[in-house]
Amino acid sequence: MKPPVPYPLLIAGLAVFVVALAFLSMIVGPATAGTFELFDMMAHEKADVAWMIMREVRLPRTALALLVGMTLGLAGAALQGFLRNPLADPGIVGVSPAASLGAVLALYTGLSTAIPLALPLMGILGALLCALLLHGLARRGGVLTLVLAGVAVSSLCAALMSLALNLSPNPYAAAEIMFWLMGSVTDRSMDHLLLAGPLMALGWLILAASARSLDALSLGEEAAAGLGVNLARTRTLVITGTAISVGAGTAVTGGIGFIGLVVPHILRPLVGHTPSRLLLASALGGGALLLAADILVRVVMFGSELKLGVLTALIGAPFFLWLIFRARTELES
Amino acid sequence: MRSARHMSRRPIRRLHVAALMTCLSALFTSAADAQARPQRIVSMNLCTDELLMRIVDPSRIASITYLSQQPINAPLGLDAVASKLKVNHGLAEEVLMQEPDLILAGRFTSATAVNLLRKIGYKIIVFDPESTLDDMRANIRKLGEAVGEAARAETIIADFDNRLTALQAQIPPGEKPVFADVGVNNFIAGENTLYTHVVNASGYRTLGQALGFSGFRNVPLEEILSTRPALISTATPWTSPPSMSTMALRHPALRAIVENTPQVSIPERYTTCGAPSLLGAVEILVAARKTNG
Repeated sequence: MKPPVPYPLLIAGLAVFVVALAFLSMIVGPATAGTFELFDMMAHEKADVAWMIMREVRLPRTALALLVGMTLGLAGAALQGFLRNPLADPGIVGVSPAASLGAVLALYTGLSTAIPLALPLMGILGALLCALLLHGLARRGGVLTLVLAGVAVSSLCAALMSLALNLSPNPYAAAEIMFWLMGSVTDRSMDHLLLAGPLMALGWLILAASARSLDALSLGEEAAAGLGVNLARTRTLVITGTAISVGAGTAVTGGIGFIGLVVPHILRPLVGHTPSRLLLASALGGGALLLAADILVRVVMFGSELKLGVLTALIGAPFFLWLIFRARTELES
Repeated sequence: MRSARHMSRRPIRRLHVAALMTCLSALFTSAADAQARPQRIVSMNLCTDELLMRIVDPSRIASITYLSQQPINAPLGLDAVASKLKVNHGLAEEVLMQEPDLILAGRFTSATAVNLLRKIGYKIIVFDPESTLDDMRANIRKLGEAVGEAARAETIIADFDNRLTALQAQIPPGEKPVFADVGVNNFIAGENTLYTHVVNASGYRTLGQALGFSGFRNVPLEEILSTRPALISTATPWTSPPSMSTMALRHPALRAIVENTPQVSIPERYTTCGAPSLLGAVEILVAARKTNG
């Protein structure tokens, strides 16, 4: 299918959009602190404080929103391509719930108050364990087994998180878990960025290695096998890449939904339905969407800050419904 | 011309040096002063807000949480002080802009922001939630020492204890009747909670003590109905805005008890924190004890 926009132009356009949003994200402060207050401080004698805020607060926040958004978009595109299922996203194969569960256990046991980085480390561990489990379960079965195994892992993780909330002896600790689960990049530090950044990049490389096979797979499993695609290798690449990148991202930000689901859907027609081309486009689109959402979270304040994951779901779900509705009318007409 | 310029620059340079010296010495003295007694204190927790406002002069408070300005949370008798202070919403960026020399935080509040601020190098003192009156006294002392007002902290503790003793003297003798607070989600206080210590200090036992458990627990309506409380509290600020917690209150079985039992209303803000606001709750309970025996 011929794309409506030339691919290089689309990528260049998305990249410009991402850079512009990242720039805006560095400029805009939380409404309660005065959106442009920092420039006042720079103009006057408090420049050092202003620069420190830029460096230590806004830079890691912006970088994490960008990288996590890119990770979610990329992993969503890779999973939808591999499973040939438009409903696939990192949540459905259980990776993000497993990462959340790891983090919740760090909060529940109090490990996270003792060691600040215990929370993301446990999250990453959770995602990797989930990937191992999926490998074991899906080795003999096909794509369907993988999806079903993912759904089961997801539900189990959700149940265990509820159990932690249920048994939490202290209402404050329970509230802390609940807020963490809503997802946010607020007040993350350079430590978080240095911990999750390299892992996310590693995951991207692994996912990118699956691009060719994804194109062949769009013709169906048998045709792909005829073209020399090793299905088991592709599955390993997609699951491992998703687990490492999404696991590292979720471990730092908490659950952020709908980006991995919606972004590939928006961009698929624009790349002419070519799965390999969708990967980079979705990564840039995901980065842009999460940056935009994080800027919005700062501008719209209701007493306390709105959580990023709440906002992406609030915008994502109705948008997804509209997409489905549009696709249906196109199919039926 | 050149020499004239040269001549004119000299005194100016000397003046610069003198000005610099004055500035530096001012900086050093104020730095030494700030070390002993922080002058720009930020509180990121509702409970440290109250203690801080009672212990230091408002001029030394850079900000408190926005919660302390809400009527539902306002600490007892501090509305006038709280309303004039700057607030924060637990965001690192806001706190940094307020250029604090000391940050007070709770164990469970804004953990990511607190970790970030600590990493940048700010001095942060973390307070654990209080589960006894002695915990409260210890936290008041800890905060007093942190801000260089140890004597003021002792005065506050002494005032609290005097007022408490005076109130306790009014409690009629006899066994402590059961006070049932079923306001919030049937979430009921048992042994070893601050709430129970306060209720005991006011001449009552809690429903949780009567049912014989420790900590907070969601108690089924059936168990609540199996007791015969002497006093009941149903109205809390949580009844508006509406929450699930109020559903239990509309249960017909509970209504029957509620209608036949004396009631009090203890605002949540008197029992949230281990702080002198607790006296507000003690006053209400002691008054109820005096009227109802």
